[in-house]
Amino acid sequence: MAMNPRASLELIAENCTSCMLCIRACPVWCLELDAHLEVDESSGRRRSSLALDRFSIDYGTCMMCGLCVDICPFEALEWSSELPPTQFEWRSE
Amino acid sequence: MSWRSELQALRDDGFDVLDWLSATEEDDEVVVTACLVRSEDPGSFRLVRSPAPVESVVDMFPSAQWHERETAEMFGVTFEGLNAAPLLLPPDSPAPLRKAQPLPARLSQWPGEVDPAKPRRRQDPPGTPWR
Repeated sequence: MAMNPRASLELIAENCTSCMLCIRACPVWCLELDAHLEVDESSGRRRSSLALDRFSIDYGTCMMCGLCVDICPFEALEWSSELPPTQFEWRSE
Repeated sequence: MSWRSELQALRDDGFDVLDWLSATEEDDEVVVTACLVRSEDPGSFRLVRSPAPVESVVDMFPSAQWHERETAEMFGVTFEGLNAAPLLLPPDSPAPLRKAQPLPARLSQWPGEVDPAKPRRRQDPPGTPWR
């Protein structure tokens, strides 16, 4: 069977900044994301960043349009040739 | 020139196949569009557009019946002279392809509504004017 280079989506969680651009770009609302604000004051200055808690893709509604891959400015979403599960879910440890 | 006479003129001109007929909702009116093809030269076609309601052309193009019934129930437009028996939808259901008709999937919570960076700011999804 020929490999489909765009069979599913791959999340590269360390690149994700939880900016919500992919969630809002999705025309079928199949992406969901939970994140929390993490404040780091160890360097003396207050630095806050978002930490990704959960990222899920409902492949039952996903129509493989690729808008989320296109819009991601941090290359945290990529095309993958793996066959998709019905539901993809990533959770932080 | 009316919808019927326009189609009749094209049919007399050799565009004898009704390839497709449907409607689009534009601003505040529903526009019915038909595509006619010349059977001797299938590459050439003509589009005819007219705001609804229009007259039925089933007597002229029998193949228009399915398209007219589908357009009538999906967009809630009337074709004068057409027996618009329901085709796919249960009786008394609203016209699902009109813009005022909310998509059931869009009535759930939008996943992009919450902004995790500013938890108190909420956003509205684009393209859902009824929310």
